[in-house]
Amino acid sequence: MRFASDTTFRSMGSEIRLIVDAPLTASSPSAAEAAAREQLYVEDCARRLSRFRPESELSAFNADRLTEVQASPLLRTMISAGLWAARISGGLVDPTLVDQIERVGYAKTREGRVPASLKDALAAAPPRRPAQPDPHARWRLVRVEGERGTVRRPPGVRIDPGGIAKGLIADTVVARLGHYRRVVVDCGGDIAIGGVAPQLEEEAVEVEHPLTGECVHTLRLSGGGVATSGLNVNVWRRQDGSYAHHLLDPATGEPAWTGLIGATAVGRSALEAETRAKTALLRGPSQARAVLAEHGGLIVHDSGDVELVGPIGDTRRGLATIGRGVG
Amino acid sequence: MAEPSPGPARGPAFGRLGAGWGAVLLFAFVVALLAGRLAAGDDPGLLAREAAVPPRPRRILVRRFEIRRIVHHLPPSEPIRNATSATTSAGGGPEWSSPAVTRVS
Repeated sequence: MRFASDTTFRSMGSEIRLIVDAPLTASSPSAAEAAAREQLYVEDCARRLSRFRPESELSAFNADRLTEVQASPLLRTMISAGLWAARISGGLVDPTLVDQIERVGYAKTREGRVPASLKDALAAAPPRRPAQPDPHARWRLVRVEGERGTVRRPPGVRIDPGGIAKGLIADTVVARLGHYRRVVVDCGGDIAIGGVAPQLEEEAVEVEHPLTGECVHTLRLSGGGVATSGLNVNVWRRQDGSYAHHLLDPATGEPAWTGLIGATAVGRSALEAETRAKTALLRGPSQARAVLAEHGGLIVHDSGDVELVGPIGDTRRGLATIGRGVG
Repeated sequence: MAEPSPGPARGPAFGRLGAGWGAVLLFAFVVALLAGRLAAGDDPGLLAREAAVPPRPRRILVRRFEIRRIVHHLPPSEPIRNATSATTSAGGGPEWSSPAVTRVS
């Protein structure tokens, strides 16, 4: 008899993993059946929210010339999540940078393409500096009208969910499987944890180094989420010879070179963790620590050095740590 | 010639009264003077005691704030990915063999 299911598949340009333990109610489908159903749900979300599929609901929304556009609850929720991320990140995680991301060379999916050397990109990158919010803050002009079932925005303002959609979908699947003993949903590194079992025995989540692939830390979480943002997977060389990646400085619309190549954040949800990780990376080393201080996280410097931040436990391997002051 | 009649004997009595009032005024003056010094923070008694005891050196607390940074340099290399395929596993004990991994994607 099967009690648990561990399923891995590809969607949203990433590897998705669903770990589902036994149901707590006898009438519920088995873990394997539930995982299969959630795989279909994830794939459906990916189809509807993809920026790269012309037939997706998001593409139709972005192409619409009307100011107010009908949107499904899923799309409205995704856009609300993007606006929430923009708000709590002070405008750094901006879901309206579609023109800019296409201009730097990310108009089509890069799945299956070999990234350029991050080491070479770092050597050629401009001086490091923290990213800044877009002074025009076009995301403030977007309004989700829940009662009308629409989204309002000035024509031409397009939405890119980016990693926000992965965090949101991971959280949604955990919520849909609330009556299973333990649920871990990994949407391309954005991980949501649910169920009663992790509260009794914490779930281990390994953090992978962006350069070496080694596990540099093991988090133990009783719920919520964890996410990693970084440069190494989506780096490419532009026609002018310069390097680019997908994390933009909203103020310039150009790739952000802040002194960090990766950030991992713990949050109350995968969505929050994703937002914090991206914010930390965009703010650079000097300000990332403040972003991660509340729930904890890791930052990876350009040199590859890893630094633990905040309350994330003592289990560590091969890490840099900051000592405490002695008086 | 008749002798002048003797008047009341005022001289010695007046002198005693004047001396008494003088003493009272002097006492009041001294009390006021000392009260004034006391109010100004110059307690003669304390000053005398302080003069007898050599002043103690002021304590200065020196704090040293030391930041220790221990860095393990990890040699950069190409990403190592564990290839996984769509699988469904089940069984007793730990129901899945490997923990979840958060990584850049």
